[in-house]
Amino acid sequence: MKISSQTYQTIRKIHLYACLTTVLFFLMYLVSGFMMMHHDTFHIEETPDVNKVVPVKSSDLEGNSWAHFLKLNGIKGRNTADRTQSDGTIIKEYWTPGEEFKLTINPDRSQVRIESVVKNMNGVLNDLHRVRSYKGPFLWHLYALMIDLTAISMILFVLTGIILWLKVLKNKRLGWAVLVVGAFYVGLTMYHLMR
Amino acid sequence: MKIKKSQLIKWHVYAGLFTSVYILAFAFSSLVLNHGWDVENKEVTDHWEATIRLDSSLNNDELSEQIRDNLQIMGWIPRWEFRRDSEEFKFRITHFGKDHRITANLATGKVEVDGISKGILATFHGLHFFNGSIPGASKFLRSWAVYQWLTMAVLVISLILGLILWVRFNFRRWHLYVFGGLTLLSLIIMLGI
Repeated sequence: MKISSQTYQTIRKIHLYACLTTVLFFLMYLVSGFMMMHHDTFHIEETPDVNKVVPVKSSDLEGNSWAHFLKLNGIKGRNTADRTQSDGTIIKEYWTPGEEFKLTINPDRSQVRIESVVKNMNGVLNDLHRVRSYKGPFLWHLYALMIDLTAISMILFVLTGIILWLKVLKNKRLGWAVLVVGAFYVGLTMYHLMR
Repeated sequence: MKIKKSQLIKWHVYAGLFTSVYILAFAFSSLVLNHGWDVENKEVTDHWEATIRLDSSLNNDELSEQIRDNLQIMGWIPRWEFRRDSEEFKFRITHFGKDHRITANLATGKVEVDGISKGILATFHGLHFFNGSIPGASKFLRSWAVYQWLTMAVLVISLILGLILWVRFNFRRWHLYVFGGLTLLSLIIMLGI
């Protein structure tokens, strides 16, 4: 493969920088993915934490007052469920890696029961692996941006890696064999899944 | 013993090439999940019929599994989608690459099957969650568990070799500040959410 020395250096830098930029996320996904594969060994333990009733006024349940209420009571993360039961009870759920909150607002809107569970380190890593999409507080958007960056870095890794291989190694037979066998196996697996 | 740079590069390259398709599958799947893209085909791609012996005295769980095994279809059966009356039993068998909608006539034993192949993109995305174990999967598909394990090990080796190559031959002080800073920022985001 013929590429100029300058192009080669640029591709090499992209390969290196793509890895270094997202290395922590990459490692987190690798470790948590491994733990998910072996979930029998890496048990997730949930321990009940908070269980209290907080008196409120109905005005506390709207807009900024609600945000203040959440902050005051240490409720963090993304709102994952909002439902109203037939008797008028409202249930709101919040989730952050390692912690889950369930808020039950009684029908006359005079009190909120707060229940939470905390998870062990296996649970935290499992949850970190599952975070996705641009929703929730600002840091969650940053997290989603890091997911995109990590994914794009992984694609760049592979593409630049292949170009570098074609440039650097003189004897490419083993490389082709490794690449083709890997791709063929994945392709055959996909075929078996789709048919 | 000092390993030559050319040797390190060779091992790094081969390890990288071995894991490349797997990495691409994960990268693509991460983008799909993060943006909620719908990559799944929902149209029926094949239709066929068969007549088998049905034991209508069985409960929904047992009967659906009996039909699945009889028809040699692999996949999980979502219990909440069972629809059964005195004449018909409808349910779905699903896995990462294909759905099967089953309609069984309880009196005649005639089973109609609508196959919905989810398509290449959805199946490529599904590899993210696939660990080789689907009820009724062939030995070949079960071998994915070995491939997955091997790929993860090789990926770690490739990563370590890449880091060694960087530290020994390409390290610049500014790398430490910039990428160390970005790693710290990543940690703050992870711990902060």
